[in-house]
Amino acid sequence: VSAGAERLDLRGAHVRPERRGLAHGRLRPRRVLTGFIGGIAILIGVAAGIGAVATPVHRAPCAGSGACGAPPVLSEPLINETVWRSSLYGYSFEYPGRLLSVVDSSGSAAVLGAQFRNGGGATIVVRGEPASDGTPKSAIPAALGRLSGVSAIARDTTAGDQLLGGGVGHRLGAGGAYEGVLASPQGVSQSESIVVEAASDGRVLLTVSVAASSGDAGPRSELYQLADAIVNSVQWAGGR
Amino acid sequence: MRRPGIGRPGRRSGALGLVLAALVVAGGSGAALAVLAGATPRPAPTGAGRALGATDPRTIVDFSLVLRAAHGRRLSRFLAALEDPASPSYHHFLGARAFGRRFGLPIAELRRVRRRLRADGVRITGSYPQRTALDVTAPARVVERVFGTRLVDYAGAGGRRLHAPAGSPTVPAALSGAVSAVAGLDQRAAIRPEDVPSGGLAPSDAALAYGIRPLWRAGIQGQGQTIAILSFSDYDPSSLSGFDGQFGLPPATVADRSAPAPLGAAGDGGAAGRQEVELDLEIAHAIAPRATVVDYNAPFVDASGDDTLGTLLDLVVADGRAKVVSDSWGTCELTTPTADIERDERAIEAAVAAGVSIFKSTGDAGAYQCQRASQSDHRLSVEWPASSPGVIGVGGTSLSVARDGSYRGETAWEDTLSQGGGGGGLSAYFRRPSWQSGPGVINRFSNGHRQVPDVSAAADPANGWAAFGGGTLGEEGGTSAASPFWAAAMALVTQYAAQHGVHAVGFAAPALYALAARGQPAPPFHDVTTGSNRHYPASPGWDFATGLGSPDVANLARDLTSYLRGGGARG
Repeated sequence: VSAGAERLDLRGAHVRPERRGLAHGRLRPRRVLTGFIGGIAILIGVAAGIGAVATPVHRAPCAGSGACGAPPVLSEPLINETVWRSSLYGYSFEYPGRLLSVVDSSGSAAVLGAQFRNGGGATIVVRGEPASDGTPKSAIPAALGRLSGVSAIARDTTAGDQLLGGGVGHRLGAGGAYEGVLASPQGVSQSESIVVEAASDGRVLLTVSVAASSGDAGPRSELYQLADAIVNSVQWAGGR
Repeated sequence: MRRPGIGRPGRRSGALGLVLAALVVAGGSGAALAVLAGATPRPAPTGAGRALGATDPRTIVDFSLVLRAAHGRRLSRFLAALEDPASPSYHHFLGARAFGRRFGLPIAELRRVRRRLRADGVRITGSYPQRTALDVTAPARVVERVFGTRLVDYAGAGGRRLHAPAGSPTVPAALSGAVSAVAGLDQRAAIRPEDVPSGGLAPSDAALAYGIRPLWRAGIQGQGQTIAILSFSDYDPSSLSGFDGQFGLPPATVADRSAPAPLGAAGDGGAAGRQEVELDLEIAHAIAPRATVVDYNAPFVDASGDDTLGTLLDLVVADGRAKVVSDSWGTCELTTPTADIERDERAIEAAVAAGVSIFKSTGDAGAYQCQRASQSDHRLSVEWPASSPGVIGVGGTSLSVARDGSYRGETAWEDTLSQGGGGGGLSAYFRRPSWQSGPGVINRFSNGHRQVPDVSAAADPANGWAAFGGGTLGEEGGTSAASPFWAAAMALVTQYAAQHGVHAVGFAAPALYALAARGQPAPPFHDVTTGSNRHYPASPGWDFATGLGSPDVANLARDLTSYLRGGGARG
């Protein structure tokens, strides 16, 4: 499924409980563009999809003169982001289509990629499987094992990088922070920061993996804010 | 009765580190302040800067001396009775002067303290009718000589030199009957704003989602109410007018009230500081658009430890104008000097006695508030002064609305990867006050200590609040947005109550818990039952992630008025 086909702009569609707001997450396009220097995502066998990744679009801020329109009298109730839904397991999540694209997907999983003007990027993988296949805890090493092209994966012991808590879609689960080495086609290796979270609703086991260059803490922090918004937007098939 | 100090680390720990080492000081509303050896705070592990050497003896040091309560146990009983509907003292509030006369040191004793300090070379720069503390100043060499400590300079942000005592200061024997602690000597315990950029909840959105519109339609928009905002930065008034213009609000009426000299008015608190103040003022004005907002401010750069919060709270109570306060600045409780906590708590007690409700954001790092100061600090921790039993701690949620903008649901705010979330957890110092009870309060995490938050509201920056600053409409969140929201909502509730014959709400926390425990035909709270705050899950009833939940303000106004009109006896 191409990224374009998956982009369903549901602004105002109000199909289910939504997180409200102008919903650009905490990742501001300008900051992303200027901040992200290093790193390209870990590819989960989806190199062909990289060309389809999105370029962030600058959104002009509202001006005090009312350039955004008249002062709202009634609330703007729901403004959704782009929705991706698993045809196999029924779960869904939202992501900002201005910043991320689906570079590969199946009935159970989606790979989101971002490419920035400076060539840097990141990957977020959301994957579902039957809950009977494992536990949130066991899903973490399994997700790490699926990362192709990344070697020497080890637990990230940096105190500031530790994942405290862990879960998906407002369900408690497990999580961990790791680091590894990504070998690029040009033969240049770079270190990658990898964070994996997993949770289950008893029917589906969901794992979210986020990978980015560990070289620049600032952009990585912003990526994590974006990933948090995606993790929190997960709707389980049976509801929260 | 003499009130011993909170204690200092070197004096607290028992030999085995297991026993209660001090059980002292009546906290707000009668909660005892206890320090357990296992909860002994320690300095921030890192981030406080490297030592640069001894402080120049000529450096002028501003700090404060915490005055003992003249009748500590009586004060504790009074504060408890004040919120007990069965007590004859129920809601018999005391103004600042009356509080000072009844629970402060005798005038003769204060005169003796003043004389002694003058003789020692310590200049008194400020005092309060509540008799809670004395603001003082002296050269470093005098501080070291009089209080038996050595001051050391540390490298702070932006090349600033920060001083801190190398050891615990000691109150001289001649003053120990009147002074319980020396506060504000450690400048490393920097007060931090809790504003987080991003979001987009407009005033009308919040009014619809949180049930404020019925009050607005009834003409209750804050008339006659005063909301105090505590701040440590200046702000741009054009941001407020821009916000008002953007959302069609009446012009904000903001009065400035600065800390007395030598502190003086707030200066440049940096972008984050200014953003915080503007957010606080805008949200308070958005929710109670016809209320007067008073900006109680002190300089951020001169904030000497955390005791400046106590200074501002003393000013609020002494002025006697505002019955609701919002504070979105604070410190990690575990790394705040205990003397500073004691200084603040004295001011908070006087505020409770005066019938003031202080709303304080519980912080934006979830169950790990100390991590804001030091990334490697992974201790479960809460924010000061949100953890005071005389303060209403306001946690954070992620709000969802229905197609028509009405309330649909909320989850606890948690951003695991970016280390964000609504503050909540257990105080290391304070016992759980008697009024903190009801469904869910006692749970598997409880240990007898004060639990926060008490309430919560939208704070997730991903879908937070619209805010105007720097000439543009931005998007911000954090519990620092939730706190002024609650303070302004309580101003509306107070106005509604006054129109229905209830002329004082007082410190609202006991009534809020009583309402939640009774169940109401029109529920005053949205109980948040999903999500967590990086450690504590939300659950039915009270929980460590969202407290009692977020308000339906119109329902809360009706229920609280009914409760108070019945003397707290019926709901």
